[in-house]
Parts: sequence; C-alpha cells; structure tokens
Amino acid sequence: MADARAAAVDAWLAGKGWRPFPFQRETWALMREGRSGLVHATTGTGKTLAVALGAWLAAGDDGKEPALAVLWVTPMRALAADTERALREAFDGVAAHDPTRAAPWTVGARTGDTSTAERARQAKRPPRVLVTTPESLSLMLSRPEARETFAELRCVVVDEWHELIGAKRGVLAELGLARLRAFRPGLMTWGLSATLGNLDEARRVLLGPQAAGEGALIEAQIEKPLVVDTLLPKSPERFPWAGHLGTKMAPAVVAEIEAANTTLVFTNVRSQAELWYQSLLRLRPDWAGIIALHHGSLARETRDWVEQGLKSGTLKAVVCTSSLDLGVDFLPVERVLQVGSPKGVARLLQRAGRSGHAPGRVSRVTIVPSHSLELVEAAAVKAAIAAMRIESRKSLVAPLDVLAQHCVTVALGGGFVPDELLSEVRTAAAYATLSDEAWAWCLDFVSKGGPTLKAYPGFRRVVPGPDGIWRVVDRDIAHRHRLNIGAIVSDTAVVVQYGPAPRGAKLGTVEESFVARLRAGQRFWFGGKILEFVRLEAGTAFVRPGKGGGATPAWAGGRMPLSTTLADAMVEAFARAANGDYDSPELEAARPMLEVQAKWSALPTPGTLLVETLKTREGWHLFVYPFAGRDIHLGLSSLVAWRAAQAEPGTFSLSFNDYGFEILSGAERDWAAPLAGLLAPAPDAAALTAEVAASLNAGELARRRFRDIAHIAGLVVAGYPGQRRSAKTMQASSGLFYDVFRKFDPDNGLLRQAEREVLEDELDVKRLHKTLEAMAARRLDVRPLARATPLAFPLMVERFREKLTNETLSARIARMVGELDAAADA
Amino acid sequence: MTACEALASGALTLLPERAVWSARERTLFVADLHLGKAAAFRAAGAPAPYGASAETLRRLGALSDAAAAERLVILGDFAHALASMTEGLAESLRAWRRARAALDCLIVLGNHDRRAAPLYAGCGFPSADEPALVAGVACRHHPLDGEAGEPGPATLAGHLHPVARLTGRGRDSLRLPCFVIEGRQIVLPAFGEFTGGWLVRPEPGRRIVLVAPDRLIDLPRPAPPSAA
Repeated sequence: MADARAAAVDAWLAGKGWRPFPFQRETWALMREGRSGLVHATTGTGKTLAVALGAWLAAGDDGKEPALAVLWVTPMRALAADTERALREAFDGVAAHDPTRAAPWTVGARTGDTSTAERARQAKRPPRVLVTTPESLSLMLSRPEARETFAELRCVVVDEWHELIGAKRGVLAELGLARLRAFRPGLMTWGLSATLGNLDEARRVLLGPQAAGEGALIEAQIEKPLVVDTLLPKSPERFPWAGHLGTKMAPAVVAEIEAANTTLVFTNVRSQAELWYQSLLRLRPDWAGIIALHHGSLARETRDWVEQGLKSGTLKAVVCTSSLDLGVDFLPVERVLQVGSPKGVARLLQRAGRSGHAPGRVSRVTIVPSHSLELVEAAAVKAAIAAMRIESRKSLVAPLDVLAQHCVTVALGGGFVPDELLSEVRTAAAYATLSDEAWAWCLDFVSKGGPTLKAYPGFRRVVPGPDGIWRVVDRDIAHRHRLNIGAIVSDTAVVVQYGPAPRGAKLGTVEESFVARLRAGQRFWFGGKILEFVRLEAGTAFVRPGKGGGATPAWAGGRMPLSTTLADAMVEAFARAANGDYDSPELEAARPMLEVQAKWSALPTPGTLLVETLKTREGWHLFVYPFAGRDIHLGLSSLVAWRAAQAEPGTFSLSFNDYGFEILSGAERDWAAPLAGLLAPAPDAAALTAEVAASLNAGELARRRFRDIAHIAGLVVAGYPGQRRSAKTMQASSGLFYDVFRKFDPDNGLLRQAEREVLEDELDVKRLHKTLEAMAARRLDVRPLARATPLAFPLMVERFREKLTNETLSARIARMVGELDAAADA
Repeated sequence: MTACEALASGALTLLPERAVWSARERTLFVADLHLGKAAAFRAAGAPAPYGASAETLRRLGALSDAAAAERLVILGDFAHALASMTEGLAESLRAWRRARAALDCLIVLGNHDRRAAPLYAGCGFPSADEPALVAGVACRHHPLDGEAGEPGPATLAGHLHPVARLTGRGRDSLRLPCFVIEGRQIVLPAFGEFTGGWLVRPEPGRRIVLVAPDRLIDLPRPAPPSAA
C-alpha cells in the first residue's frame, strides 16, 4: 500500500519531468515513520511538495470517514489561496497515479477571507487538508467543537516559520500547536523555514522543548547561485553631502527595469513604494498599465490583479513592500531591486529568492541606495553574505497578553481546568519557564480583571464553574473576543472609497491620523493615483479623482531595525575606509561622503567612540555613534538623557537610527564636560535595569508599548467598518487606558508587562549593559561641530522622536509660554 | 452676542478647572463627564480600573462649592453608556445631590446619554434636549458647525473633547485640553477623567485657550493666509 503511494508520487513527478531532491526523499522517509521536524531550504526548491506529499505518504488509507487530517498554517492570508491551489494540484496529481484509486485529498482554506457559507460547508464535510493562519487557528480553537474538529488530525505544517518565530504571532502559533498536541498526542509537526542563523533553536521552538530532541532538521543542499550588487550613482558630486538621494536614482532604476523581463522593486515602507511608483511613471508615462504598485494597504482586488499580472508575466515591474516578501513563485520575475537599506542579511536573501524562482536559476538582487550611507551598508551586506553571517530569531519569553488572550480562547473552546492548561502551555517554548505567579496573575486577570486584592467585581470574562472548568458564559464577551483574536495590532484604518454619491470602488486603507489632517479638496497620492479628499463619513474617507500633486500618506510601522549582524559588518566597512582601504565599488562610491565626514569630524573606528556636539536654532545637540542598532540606541539615548536630567532637570527630544542617537535640549546645556559620566557603564545589569526603568517613567516608551498589549489582552477592541453603534461606546485609545491605569491602578500587571517588554525586548537591558561596557573600552573622540555632518544630519531631520522630561508640567508650560511671548514681542 | 463679546464683557468666564462660569447668573457649565465609563468597559469584559468617576464627581463638587454656584448645566455625555449607570454610581449621584440640595442642575442630553437618560431624574438630575436656553446662553451638546459665525445667542457646547498642542524649542510639545472659541460659540474641554481628546489646530477666526493645571493660555492665532 505504502509502496503503491510512493510509486504514485514518483510517477506524478516523472510526468512533470521532475526528479525528487534527496532532501524531499529524506522528508518522506521521516514522515512515514511519524517523525516531526523542520525543513530548511531556500525559496523555490520544493519545500512545499516535500512536506505535503510526505503527509500523504504517511497516511495509510484508514477507511475512516473523511475528516481533517492535515492542517497547513501560513503566516499571511494572502498566501492561503495560492497554497490551497498548489496543494490541490499535488494531491490531485498523485491520486491520478494511485493504483488503489482512492479519492484525491480535498483541500480547503479557512482564513479571515473565507465566507460564512464556505465555513458552514467545511463544518458539514471537512476537507482532508485545511490551509489557515495562526489567527484563524486560534479562532477554530475558540469554537465549542474544537476538540472534535481536530479529532482525526495527523499532521500540522507551519509554513514560513522564520517569519513567525520571534514575533507575538509566532507565540500565538506556539500556543495553538500546544493545544493541538494536547488534543492529539503524537501529532506530527513540520515547519518550513528559509535561512536563519539559528535553525536548531527554530526547530526547538516549533516542536516544543520537550519533543524537540526527536525532531529532525532537514537542510536542502541545493546550490542556488546568488548575485548581490549595487546600482552606483554615476557622478558622486550629484550627491548632497547630507546624503539624501530620495528618488534621484530613478532613471538608473528605469534602465534596469527596461533591460529585464519582469522586475520587483522592493521598498522598506509603504509611503516609499508610493513615491517610487510615482517617479517611475513620471519618467516613463508609457509604462502606465504595465507597471504596478503593491502594498498591504491597497484593496484586496488591486493586489490580486497585480499578483495575477506577475504570474502571467504581463507586468513589466511592480513596486512593492514586504507584502510580496513571501509566497508562491512568480516565475517570470527576473530581477529584484532593493530600494534603501536591506536592514538584514536574511531579509535580503529572502528578497533575492523572489527572482530566478525555480530550481537551477540565478537569484539576483540589486541594492539601490536612497542615502549615501547605504552604500556602506551595501558593502557590509555583501561581506556578511560572503561570510555566511545570518541573523538569528528567538522566541519571545512568556508574553502575558498573548497568554491571557489564549486563556479566553480556550475557555470558549470547551473550557479548561487551570492545572491542565498550565501543563499544556508550558510545553510551548515561549512559556516553558512560565512562573506560577505569572500564571496566577493571568488567571486572575481573565476571571476578575486583576489580582485578587484589587479585583473588579463588575468584571467577569472567564468564569470558573462548579465542575472546576473555566468557561466564557457571556455571549457578547464571546463575540467580541473572537473579533479581537490575533497578535497583529494596526492603527485604526480608514477605508478609502470613491464617493459619496455615487459610491464607487474601495481603493484600500489609510491611517485615521492621516485623514484627520486632510481638509475637503486637499489632494493626496494613494495606490499610485491622485485623489481629492471629499469627506470622512463613518470610517470611510470619500474621495474623487484629482489632478496635480499632493501629499503621500505615511503609515506607521514597518520600520525595521538594522540587524546587529549587519551593523557589525558596517563598523568593519567604516574601519576599512578609515584605513584608506576602499575595497568594494560601494565603498569607493561612498568615498566623497566619507571624506566630508572625516574632514568635518571623524570616521567611526572600532577603537574610538565618536561623539559630536552642535548648537543650532533648535537648541543644544549631542550626537553619539555606537553603531549598536536602532533598538539599543533608543535605550541608550533614553538612559543618557535621564542621567543628564538628574544633574539638572530638563526636557529632551531624542532621535536614533541604526548608526547612533541624538539628544536635543531646547535649554542651554554643556554636553562635552559631563560626557564620561553620562556614558559610564553601570556597576551591574541590575543597577542598569533600575536606571532604565526610572528613565521609562520620564518618557513615553512604555505608554506606546502598551498599545499592542491593550489590544492583545482585550482591553481595547479594534474598530471595524460597519460595526454596531453600541460597540462604539466600547472604544477608548490604549494611551487613555495607560493613563487611567497609571493614575488609578498603578500596580496593574499589564502595565508591568509593558515596562518589562520595553526593558527586555525593546531595549534589551543585558545587551545595553554590554554595549555600555564596550563603549567604555573605546577612546572618546569628541568633536564640536560647526555644522551637521553626514552622520549627524539624518538624526537631526528624523521625524519619529522620543521625548524625555523630568521638569514639572508647570515649569515646562511656563518655559514654552515664555518662548511664545518672546516670539510675539520679537 | 459672539462668544468673544461674552467673554470680554465678563458675562462668561473660562475656568482652568475646564468649566465656564457665569458670575451674573451664578451658573457653572461643564461638558462630557462620561461617568461610569470604566464600569461600561468592565461589564463588557475589559478590566478598566476603579476611581475615575469618583474623582470626576469630587472635582465637580469642589468646583461648584468653591464658586458657590446656584445652577449647574452639564452639556451632554453625563454618563458613558447604559451599563455605566450601576447602582453604585446612582447612589454616589444621589449622595452628591443630597450634599447640594439647593443647586439647580440640568443635563442637556448628548449622544452618549441616549439610553441612560431615563435614569438621570431618579438620581436628582433633570434633563432636556438640546438646545436649552439657560441664563441667556444656548446650551448644546453637539457644537454648531457652519452657523457658529451667524448671529444668535452665545452658545456653549461639548462633544468634541478638544485638545491642542503647545510647542517649544528643542522640539518640545504638549497636548493640553482647550476651549475652542469661534463666532458665537465656545466648545468646552471634557470635564471627565476617563476621556480622550480630539486635536484642534489653530485657524484664522478660531481662538484656542489651553488649560494648564493652574492657568489658561491663549494660543497665538495664525495670520490669515496671504494671497500667494
């Protein structure tokens, strides 16, 4: 029987002219033994078939009624339809060659896009294979019939595991897997991952620390030729020394697009994608209709159209964001351009894999610098790839917001006995070391709204029953929880639609904060079109086609930090330049900028810590360049400003990027004299934690962090178009919640989680401590500036800034009013 | 009478306690208390903390007592939702009224009051639909939109929870509750503790008065746009 199936697989593949790779055969053999594991292979090498056919081979024909046997979890619902199609083709194909003439496996999808009718059909007649997302899996687990749904499950597959691990969505998936394993002991778990620096850890997290020992790690040994190069600016003198290139490289990009069949132009954020699309069309109006724009805020129909065009090869180029990072093969894609910083080695490799997306073809990615410092980054990323230095991603440690959400989910999905659920939750890597206290807090939170001593009597989300089983009894609470499931928190989105009369197509979404600034008649770019704002009505921004130019919306989020792997490689590149060793075309192209930096100040080197001070109309600036990555600089700037404020109360504006940070004081301040003390390492990590925690209260970091926590823990319910009117009285911003908690319930566990997340995840105090020690070992090189240097300028113009103050509110107001009065008198 | 004239003549006074005071009529105006908002959240399964409503009522009592007000007008959104009107809140309201039996109170109903309004009278707070003419002032919850510039009685309104930004050197900035004065209308800042804010920007013809803890600050008005 099993051999007949193996023969069917071989026959089907042979019919397509394919021979299985050794890693596929290895996977099939392991799956037939019922083992679990993680498959690592670059995109376009047949990971999907390895695991899908493995599951089919592993399943004997047991003669049971059709039931759900394989669950396929994919991180993006946009991928679900393509995955469904690919799986159906494979299962139909092998069934046609199966001598037992068993009916082919049915494949279905269950995501946020699945219609109610389709869901009802699936409930009546479940497909053998169901494609879903971590959020939809959570939703299925919140149904009373969850246990029956998965009663015959044999195998769960997590696709693109590298995308999930390290994020709260990954933790949500870990908890879902733990639940499925509790339903079905011995369940096979398989993950698919692109390149990561810590695949062993990725396998441990996927399978759970207890079972990981028996899990396999399969690495596809497939040579995939990779070319990484850079579009160098033609004449260096056309670079302003400040380095902003914006879309000046657009003509060169047009030439590259012209020379290839189909090109993907990746940008790092959505607004940048909009700008580049406009620039390309301005240069080549004749490309209207054959170049397109793709990002996460565009309407589903638009994105489908673009993806279809990519598959069929009718599009010449698509400007996109991470929205096209993942997914099925766009075979026609020949070239990939990366506009701006690649941010990480793994990320660039992933994007490179979108070209030459078939075994044996060359992947090529070309970096298009948007700033001359990115030439140095390009040199660094090439060196890192040559040395195979790739980032690692770790699971988060015990986030209580996700756990609280999961507890309510399980309470809905048949209920739980606390001790049993605790044992189950601890089989997930993220909660392997969950303390009894944290668990007790979580139970109190979902049942009483807070710890026992400060219980809220009016509150009951989960109610312990007389039988010892905890359940959700209130139907409204159940409904709202299901709406809110998930760990992705986005700003309130406003739908952009032609109208109001007649109502036309929906174009996508923008953030409420952007629409709030628009006045009737104002124009803005969206989806590559000029739109004129008419009015905002019930969560919809009505627009009509406009002419001329306008603003480009900014979407929050998507600002990735430069990975430390890449930052380290960058310091090395600077060091080579400081020695006069311009060893790559990229460094040579950056030479004019680097020479200005050296002349006006100095180049950073491994042995020195470069610090610059500057007085401008805005105030007194301090610039420090540890090259430790954006997140560490955020912590450092907050700490240094806090220390400065201890000597003399003040209010500071902080900015930071991947290279360094800036502290700006509106009041006069001598930065140079106290510098050694401001940058001194703490005696130990505990002392530093206390200092950083104190600085948090003076800033807004914890407040901002609270936003995600409030959503995930169910404090704040995301608004959605067309909601019942009564739901609107349930809206309050997480910032308001944060303030109210701080004032009326300062010991609340979620506030402490926000602080802990900032301290441990965002600022990473342990790394901060090491960074301070490493900085102290370097020689301070303090340069008073006459004007901003190439390194300082991007920090000065950075719009996303943090604030830190220990002035009293009235002193701050008095100072600002004094400035107003002075301005009025001038 | 425009709002500016009412303020200039002393008929109406803005208070840093986020209220408007009519000395001649000994009448106090406040807007948007959103009492029991946390209770409504708790009833819906979101654990909001205790204390905001008690603090709002304490401040309202202190303000009204210190001013020796004879009349109190609440410009809508007295309670947050029907679920807000818990027995605990009703008892606090009755106690608040017993302590100020002589105070003449009126709630001008706002959008949040729709379902809770029938319960107000039982707690000692009569209510009326907008606009209600009290002490020569048109009292509303929803602000006038275009008509604020047209002639008519001085108008007070709430609903918006206006806040505005005070900026300073070194990129310092603060969001503070504010009064918005346009034409004959004054929109009051929200009085309640558990209320968010809607950012108002300076515009020609619009006067913004920021509320600091201990003072009021007139924001400079932008010059009218030039012909260019």
